[in-house]
Amino acid sequence: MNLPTRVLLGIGLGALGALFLNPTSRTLLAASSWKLRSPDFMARTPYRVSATQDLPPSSEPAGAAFYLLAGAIEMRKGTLDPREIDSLIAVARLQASQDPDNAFWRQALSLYLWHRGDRAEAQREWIRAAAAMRWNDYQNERLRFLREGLQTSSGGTLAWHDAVSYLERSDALQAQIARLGASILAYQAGTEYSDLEIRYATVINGRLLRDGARSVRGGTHGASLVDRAALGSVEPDDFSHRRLHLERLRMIDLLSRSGRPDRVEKALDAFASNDAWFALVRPVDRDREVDRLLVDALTASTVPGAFLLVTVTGGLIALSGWFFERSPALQRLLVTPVAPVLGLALAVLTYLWTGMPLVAFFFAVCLSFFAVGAGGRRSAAATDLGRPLLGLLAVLGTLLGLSVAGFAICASAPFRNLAPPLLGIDNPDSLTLVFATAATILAGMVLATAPGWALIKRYAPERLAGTVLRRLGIGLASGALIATIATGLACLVIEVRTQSVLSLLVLNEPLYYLNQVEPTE
Amino acid sequence: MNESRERFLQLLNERRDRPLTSEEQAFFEAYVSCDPEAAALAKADEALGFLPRLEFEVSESRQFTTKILRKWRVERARRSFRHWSPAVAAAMVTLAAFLALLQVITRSTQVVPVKLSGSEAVRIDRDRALLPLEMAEKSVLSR
Repeated sequence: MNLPTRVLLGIGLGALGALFLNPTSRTLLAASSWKLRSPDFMARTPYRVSATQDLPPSSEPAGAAFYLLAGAIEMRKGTLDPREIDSLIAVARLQASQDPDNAFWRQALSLYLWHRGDRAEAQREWIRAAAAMRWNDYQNERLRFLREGLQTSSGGTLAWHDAVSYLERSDALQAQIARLGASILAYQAGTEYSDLEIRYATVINGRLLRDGARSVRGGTHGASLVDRAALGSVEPDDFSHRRLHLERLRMIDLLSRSGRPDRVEKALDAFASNDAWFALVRPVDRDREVDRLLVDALTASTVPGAFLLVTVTGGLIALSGWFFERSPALQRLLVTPVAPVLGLALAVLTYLWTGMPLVAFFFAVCLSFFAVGAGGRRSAAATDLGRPLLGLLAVLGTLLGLSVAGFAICASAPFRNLAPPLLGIDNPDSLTLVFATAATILAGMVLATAPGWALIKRYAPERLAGTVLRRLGIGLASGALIATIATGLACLVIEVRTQSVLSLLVLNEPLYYLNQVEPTE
Repeated sequence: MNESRERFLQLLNERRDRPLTSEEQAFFEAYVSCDPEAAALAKADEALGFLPRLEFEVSESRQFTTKILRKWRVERARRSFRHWSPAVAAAMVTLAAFLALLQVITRSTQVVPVKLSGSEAVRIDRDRALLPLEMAEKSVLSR
């Protein structure tokens, strides 16, 4: 190895060492390399929205809120039975009595009472909910638990934990409450309250829901409910902003005539803050911006680790080639009849493991290739492999590296958790299998190049195989090492920026957008 | 060189291998007594003649081989270090530089400051209807 190569190797290893020593970059590298097959926390936790079927009722506020959310999800599916509805009502009633200041419990109680058919009682609870001071659905507690679990399993804090938490926040209950509000507004028969009283309660309930929701989507349900209550009997088809303004004024007028100045003030404040909320909290490019952040979080947590895995793979290939070159005992594995028998055994094992006959057959063919020899072999070692073989190895090495990287990305926990909602990939495991199969086939092709070239150039194939593997391994490891360092640095910058924004979005998305507003002079 | 000096040098050389005859011995002694240079030469030759008779005590330490091998290994390690020292130096410098760079990157996060004062409420999507039922339906469908 000459001096410049030694210096470059030192630079590469020094940079890689720094990436290992820095805690954030080390955690980034881990996700799709040495923690690739560690148990996925999200697959085991019962606190996922998609794992709510067998959730037991809870007397603790966060658990009770999650139980009520699970009920809303099941209600949407139409799979709630009367016994479950009774249980949901009991839980909501208990929490409402223990925490009367939280409108969430009474709104949820009203929802399930309405769903059971107790409309008068549901309406009463709706009116009582408007007297509460705050709205808290305890989803932040659940998301905090998820984030802590992910951090423990990953060994550090990363943006993809926040991305998963962001996507795990559900607005199912808020959506159902907004629909309930619209239903209560439309419900006329047998009501003990005046139309104005119900509209006012709906405005206040909508405002509480909007201000208490920690996501823009959840808050939109509340803000829309405020406008819906202001519109009163106006049909949705007749909506216009002018109409909304007039109906608001009409409602304020009615409230002032009813002799409740406090209600006038509260309703005016609710309408004004609603306009501000729609204007400031819902920037036009929000969805695109959030999608970009989520993709950034996924990229940062998977790409450097995947290249690290390719580097290690290349290193192992180079090492095995080095051993093959120096060990006559190992070279004997690649001569007739050992090589074809070995290929057959490998094919049987591959078939038993993967169940794919073509891949297994391919292995047998690749190793059987070593049985094909030429007469009058050269005794000299193959020092110069020649341009055609080096070109072929470069192509095969690049494809092999990309396949291994693809496998590492698809098998990593960030991809398994983020790809289905973000990229619409329903089954990441099938994609993992595709990349693993491609890598296996390419590895077989690399093995087959040695006997092929040996046949043409009259080298001993078992000796040439070692040289081919060593050269390919060195090239693969060098290229992947450079890619690991470059993407490691770039992804660390992306990770730091993305994590700082996503953590705020998970904590309180509307507040984040409010803080983005530049003050006007 | 004259004839007598040539004979002297020849006898000087030969007396190591055989005893000189009385005639030769007489000539040798006469020549040495006449020529101081020849006398010095004869003394030096006598001194050299004693050397083979000396007995040296050979050090037969058990650790001799070990020491030699250790020295050889140290020398090999030194050569290896000299060979890899540019790579090690490059690795150390890069490690230090990258650690500093990574620290700068990871500490550059800034929490966005709260700027609520003076904010003005303006609808930016004026032409978009905000109907609660439709939005709720859309949201439910999207989940």
